[in-house]
Amino acid sequence: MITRDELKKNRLFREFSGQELDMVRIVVDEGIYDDGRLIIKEGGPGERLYLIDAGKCSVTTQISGAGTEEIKLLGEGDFFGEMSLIEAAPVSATVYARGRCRLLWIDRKAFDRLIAEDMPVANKLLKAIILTLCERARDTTAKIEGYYKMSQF
Amino acid sequence: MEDRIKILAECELFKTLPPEALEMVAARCYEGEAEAGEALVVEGKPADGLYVIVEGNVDYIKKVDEKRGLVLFRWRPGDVLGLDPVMDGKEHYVTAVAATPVKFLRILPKDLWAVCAADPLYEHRLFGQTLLIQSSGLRQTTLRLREFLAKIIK
Repeated sequence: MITRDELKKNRLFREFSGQELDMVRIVVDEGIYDDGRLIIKEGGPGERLYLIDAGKCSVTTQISGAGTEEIKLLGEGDFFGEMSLIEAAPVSATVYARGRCRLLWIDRKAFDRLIAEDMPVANKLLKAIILTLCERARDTTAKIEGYYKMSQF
Repeated sequence: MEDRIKILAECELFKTLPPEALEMVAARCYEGEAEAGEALVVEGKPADGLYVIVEGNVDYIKKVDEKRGLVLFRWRPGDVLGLDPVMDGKEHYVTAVAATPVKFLRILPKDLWAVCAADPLYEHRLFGQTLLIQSSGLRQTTLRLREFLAKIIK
């Protein structure tokens, strides 16, 4: 089973107590992904929240007429896949393993149960996701400024 | 007061709150108006509250140089602006300008947090709706990002 320390490394669980981490540990699975392996595909169903325990993952998107572009590189302590679980919508980007990486994941059923079971724990988890989405929105909006300027040349 | 509750009950962020929580929010709201062209929030300024658009439209603008801004999308009645800076306590990263005369309700960050602190259920519902709003906003922003990437690459 995943240890408390392994979970605590992830930004989602930094504020969790030992007891709260134990509630999460029992629903987390793990796997090793080799370099270049597809983890989730844009447009596909989102069934898991992935936590990066070790290694890096490349978040890419399809640009019409131009192919695949990397929009973000995620590393240890980051997570992805949460938007599809929240919205019950298709995955918004394709994610590959960049180098060998170890991922932990929580599937949709376990995620929903975790959110429903204990409100203070759920609120901590939701707040951590909110703060990360704030950061991603700031980052994406700043990139738009940069890309806009480049598109003017 | 009843008008405010009705507006809040139809707003994406607050619509899942129970009636007693809607009353708490409504009691803490300020009503405001803006002329077309007037900025409600300004990029780089500290979080000063949530704005619920009651009437009119508001443009979400990212500054690209000293004089120009890029309209990323448009908020309409029922939409909420200023959510991320209230959540993370950082400055606004876009400017919101009234595209038409606008009426809005404004809730100060401390008042929103007071409602959250009153009951874990209120906090839970607000966080759940916040995530839905953020997620949808991020998808739209990513689409705009792709458009510019496509322009550069071509």
